[in-house]
Amino acid sequence: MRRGNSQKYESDPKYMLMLCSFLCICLIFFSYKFGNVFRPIQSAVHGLITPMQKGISVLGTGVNDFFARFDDVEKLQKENAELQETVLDLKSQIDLLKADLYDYDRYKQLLELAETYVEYPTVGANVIAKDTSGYYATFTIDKGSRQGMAVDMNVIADNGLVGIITEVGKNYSVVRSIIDDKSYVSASIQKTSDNCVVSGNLELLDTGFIEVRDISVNSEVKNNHKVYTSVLSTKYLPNILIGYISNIQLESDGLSKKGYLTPVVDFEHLNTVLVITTIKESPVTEEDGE
Amino acid sequence: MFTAFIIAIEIIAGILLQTAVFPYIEIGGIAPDLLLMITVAAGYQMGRSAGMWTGLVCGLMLDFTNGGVLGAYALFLMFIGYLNGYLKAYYVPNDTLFPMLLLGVSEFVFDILIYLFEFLIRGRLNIIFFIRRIMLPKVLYTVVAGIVVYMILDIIYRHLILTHQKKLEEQKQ
Repeated sequence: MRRGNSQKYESDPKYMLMLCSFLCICLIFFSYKFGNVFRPIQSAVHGLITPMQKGISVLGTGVNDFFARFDDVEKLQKENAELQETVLDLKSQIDLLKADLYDYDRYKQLLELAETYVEYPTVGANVIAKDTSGYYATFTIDKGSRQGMAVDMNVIADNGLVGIITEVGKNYSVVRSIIDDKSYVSASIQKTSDNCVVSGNLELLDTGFIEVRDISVNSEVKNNHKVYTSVLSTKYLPNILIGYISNIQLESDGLSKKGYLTPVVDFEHLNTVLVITTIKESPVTEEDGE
Repeated sequence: MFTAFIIAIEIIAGILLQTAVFPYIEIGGIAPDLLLMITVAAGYQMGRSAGMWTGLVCGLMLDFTNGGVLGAYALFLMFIGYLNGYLKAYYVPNDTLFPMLLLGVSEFVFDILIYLFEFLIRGRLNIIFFIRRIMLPKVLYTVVAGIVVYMILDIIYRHLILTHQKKLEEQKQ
């Protein structure tokens, strides 16, 4: 194409480079300024490779499982024996708890307690592709707008917060997890009801922690307190468990406290996730409307 | 046309492997950068123009699948492909040492650019951490994997593209 008919470019591709650089800079500017302009093109290209990614992902999981089978059989047997014991133990515990639960239900009815934990409607999805650059913690799932996904839907797994949908195509969605460097979640600490901000930090990559900041200086927060998404958050639904706080210390300016957070979700081995199909509606006051 | 077609296939295979297969072989969250390898190889084998176009398409593919601001990767990879094209004169078939050097340097430059425009701009000042934990391991992993990938790309170049070009020239004469 460009080799055959145009000797001009072949002799000096400098002008073409300038033109393309200019176009790229325009592209950066426009996509930064008006995010949605190029959405259709982006969706079209990404949507085209999604079915292939899906196929390969299935194959990859198969191959992975195949090799996992060769894992130490002895180890599995030992583990099995241990698990059997635990099962017996847990069974007896369940019986005890069932009795407690019965009492609890009765009391709850008596007290007419409001639901403490709100159950959100969810849809399951498989992870089909992952960013491997080392810089981002984003991944692609195999459900898109056709299955009712939309931008800003919250994603959970293992009863904990995974992240939020940032891009949706017809048959795929891109999820940014809370451990991503750009992630920012308004949260609250359960026992003390302190507000805080949970943000990803790439520098804590190897520790398995993410950051908690902006905790009030007067807070009596202690290690292993649970951190939930806050009602104040504009994008995240309230009362989803994020993780456990630890290593609390005073910020260097002495005006607030900070700490580390261990997420409940195992981000290393994330294969299936649940997408909450409710989107948080931010309250719009009359002033905001104007 | 034929060359563009072959490179397009390479890029599609590359992006699929990169996003769907390489998560299984990543070490410490880092996997080899396949699209960069394709860009560097195209520039080194076929010159500035080919390197530039390959880099542009590879970068756009990365931009489209990433979900961030469009155009940044395209710009970086386009320049990397173009600059590698200056070294076309030094192309030797079957040599892997020199292209691996190019690949290592290119990967490092690419990573520095990403750091500057994605992290430094948001106040992540700890560049030592980024170099030690992400950039150097990535350079190393990309170069090691690059030996095999480059050999395959070189075979494709010599047996498909070069022979095709020779055939065209013979037809002209």
